[in-house]
Amino acid sequence: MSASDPLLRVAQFALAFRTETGLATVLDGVDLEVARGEILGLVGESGCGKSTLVRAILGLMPAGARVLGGRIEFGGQNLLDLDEAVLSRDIRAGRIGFIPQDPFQSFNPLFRVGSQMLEIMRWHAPPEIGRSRSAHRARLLELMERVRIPAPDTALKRFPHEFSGGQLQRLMIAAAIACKPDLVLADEPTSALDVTTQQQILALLEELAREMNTAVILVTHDLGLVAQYCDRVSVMYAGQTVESFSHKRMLEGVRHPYTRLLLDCHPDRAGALRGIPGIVPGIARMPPGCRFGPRCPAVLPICSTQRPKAEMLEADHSVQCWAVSGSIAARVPADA
Amino acid sequence: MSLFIVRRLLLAIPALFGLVLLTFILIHAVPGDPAAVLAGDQATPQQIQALREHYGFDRPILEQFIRYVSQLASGSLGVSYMTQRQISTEIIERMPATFELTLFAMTLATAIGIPLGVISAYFHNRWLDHVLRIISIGGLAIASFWLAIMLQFTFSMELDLLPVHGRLSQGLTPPPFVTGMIVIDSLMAGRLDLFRDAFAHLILPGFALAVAPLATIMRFTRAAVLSTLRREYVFYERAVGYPRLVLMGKYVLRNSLVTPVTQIGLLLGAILGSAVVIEAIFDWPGLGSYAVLSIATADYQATLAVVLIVGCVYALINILVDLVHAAVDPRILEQL
Amino acid sequence: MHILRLFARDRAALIGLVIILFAILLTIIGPFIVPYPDDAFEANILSRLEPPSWDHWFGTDDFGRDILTRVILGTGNALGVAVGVAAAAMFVGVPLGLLAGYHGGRFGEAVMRVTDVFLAVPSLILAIALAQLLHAGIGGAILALSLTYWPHFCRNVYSETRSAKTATFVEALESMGAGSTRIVFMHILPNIASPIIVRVTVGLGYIIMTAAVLGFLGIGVPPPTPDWGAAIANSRQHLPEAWWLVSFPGLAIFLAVLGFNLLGDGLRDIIDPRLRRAR
Repeated sequence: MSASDPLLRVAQFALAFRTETGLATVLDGVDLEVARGEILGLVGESGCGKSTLVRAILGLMPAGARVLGGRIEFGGQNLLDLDEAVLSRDIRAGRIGFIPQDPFQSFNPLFRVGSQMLEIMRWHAPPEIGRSRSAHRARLLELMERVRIPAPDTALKRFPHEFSGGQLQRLMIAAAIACKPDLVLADEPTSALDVTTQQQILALLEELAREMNTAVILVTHDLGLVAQYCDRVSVMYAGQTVESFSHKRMLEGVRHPYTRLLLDCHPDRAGALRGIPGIVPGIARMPPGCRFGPRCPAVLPICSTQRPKAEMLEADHSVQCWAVSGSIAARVPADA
Repeated sequence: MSLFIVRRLLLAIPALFGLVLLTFILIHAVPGDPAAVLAGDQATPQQIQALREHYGFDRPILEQFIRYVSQLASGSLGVSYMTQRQISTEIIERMPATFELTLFAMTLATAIGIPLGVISAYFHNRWLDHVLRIISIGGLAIASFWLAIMLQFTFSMELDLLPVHGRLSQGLTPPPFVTGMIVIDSLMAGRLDLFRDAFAHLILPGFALAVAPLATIMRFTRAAVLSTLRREYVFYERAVGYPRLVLMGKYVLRNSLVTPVTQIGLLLGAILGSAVVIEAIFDWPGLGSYAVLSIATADYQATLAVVLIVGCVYALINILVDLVHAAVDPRILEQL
Repeated sequence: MHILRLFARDRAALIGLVIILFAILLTIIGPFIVPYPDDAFEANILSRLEPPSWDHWFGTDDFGRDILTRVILGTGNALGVAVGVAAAAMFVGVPLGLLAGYHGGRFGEAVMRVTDVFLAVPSLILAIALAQLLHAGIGGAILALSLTYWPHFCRNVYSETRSAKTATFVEALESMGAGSTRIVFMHILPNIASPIIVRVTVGLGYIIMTAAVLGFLGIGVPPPTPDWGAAIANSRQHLPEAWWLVSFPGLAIFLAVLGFNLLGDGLRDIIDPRLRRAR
């Protein structure tokens, strides 16, 4: 993975929401990189800011959100500098595709799925596909064949409520890649579906992404899924990225106590992690120092006062943890 | 679909029959002798007795009821005590005037109410929204008959801009009968002078009738747009870069119209109700002024006939509204 | 306390409450503070149709009676009718809706079919027709309005009860063997009280409006009792000369209905958080 020229680079991104009691920081120093054609898993418990980050990349922050700092570079451009109209016209769908969490709620119930997908292509289809409606239709039919929707021709004319959840999510995948984007953001694309469908959908997404060399950010709270489909993983906790590593370090090399706990326990359906005592702190009540400190089995005195810095362990592995940096510091003199 | 219409029609019949029963019971349960009322103050007991026998008031109530119902079933609404004409003839003559007025009011209310509601929602909690909301709350509190008189006073009597009453100025002959609605018939006959005159007569009563439903439509549209904007699919539509105008004008609007559309039946009912008084104020020769006339002359057969006819029209309107609803929202069709 | 704070922040609802309290105050002390208490019912031909002045703030009507006096005295009449009708409609509609909603089945079905009959015609037309059939007079008007209004209530309570019935606490009570009457009136009723309160508040404004229409058509209180609707009807023959005859009773109706609508909206926003977000 060439870290020197990533497709997307989120650097020290911080975001706050205005609340009744003042600004509450929801994302605080998020670092993230995705290379072309790479599938990145973005993992964390519910409420850790994964979805907010995805929305921020698309420029769709809720009203009352304020960027406190950092950059979101995409193809060499800082997306935070672009205004809504430009993002909508030049970035969304055409360069960054989006697969939503709940396909049932994300299709407009009053319009045929075909017309909704054609609406996307109408505004964002790249020149090589062509501008005509018939060209768009042809492309859609071909994609629907690829995502294994039976009888694509008639399917286009049907309404969302006439499809199953799995089928709707396949349509969402087709819609996300229809305009040949460089990056697809998949926001927990399978959490609304049943377990057997989950695997099919993700396998399909991986297959198409590899084939078209499209980068994917797969947001999930399920490390098991990540292990199967992702090249690299970033773990988020309470609005911060605490550890990033490549697929091969998954089983033996993870260092952050939180990641280790994630691996040890199995997420239940609600997305909370059964094995880790405590809950993710609310945005209004963030502990000072390390945010995982109060729940951490390896907590040190320094954790409650000072925030750990990101430490590069290897070229493909960075971690934010006093316990890890401490052990490195202890190891350095011994090696010297 | 046609099955649905038949079923709905069949469902309306028991309610209408119940209405006949209810009104019939009330007439006979209440102390007071209809024959005496009809005969007037100067009538001799013999005259009253004669009337009583003539109309069968001396027969057992059940017999009277059966006679009344079988008479209704044969399509006759009875004979007016006052004019001695068939009530059905009189009602048919007056129906087009009421249709013209109520349809005009409904068109006015929808054509103004929906855009204002959308604007109000779009500028949510800004000053324009506040102004529009104050107007709509005020519009709901104004008694339409009072507004009608104030309009008449201001625009007809003081400013002399619009005619005081009637459908057509004196000396003008109505256009050849096609629909019975002068505004339409005059256009079909190519008589622009008649159209202008008839339209001028429509404005004040139409506006007086339209204010309350306009305010209601505005409130419903505003609330519907606001709730639509919070939907997942609107977020998705933004995330895949639907242009703002397309999103608001096509997708959000269509979803927001579902609620106001379901209210149109109720609103038309309310307009028909207010029309009774408004027609009387503007000497509009429709069903409403006929009802007021029948009240003033204690012609209860005629009053009952108006109630029944309005009940039938109301049932038809509600079936129509359901059909429109199904046309707007494909999910409804499955429940029909 | 939380509800009170929310309410105090809602300026519109506060204005509505103030208007209603003012109307109630006028009802109580009105007869003692009106400028011309003797005028209320007696003609005074010498001073007929006088425009508003220091002596007669709202002018005088065609019988020479002080309009301010009659508008104030009309308040009690309007509120009285509204409260009477709402109470009667609740007395019938709430228990019927509760029982129909809780027991369902053939009884519930029958109750709903009866409400269908009353809802088959726009309510204003039904009220007018019933009031006429019941003969003129305040009693007839109140009865007609109550007959028109109770089905709306009943429907509302019915659907609220249906959804409350599925709540876990009801199931728990049933499994503990609580009697159905006890469950309905002691447990479900308090739980659906809020929507009923909202319905009544908005309904009071609606009844004032409808009663005014009846008065306007001459099927409300008989003259010379002061009545806003009847006053407007009488004023028509003196237009365009005497604008004050029609204006002030109409404004009174407007304010009274506005008060109840504002308060009802405010209460609904507080009670139903889903709707509050739509503000």
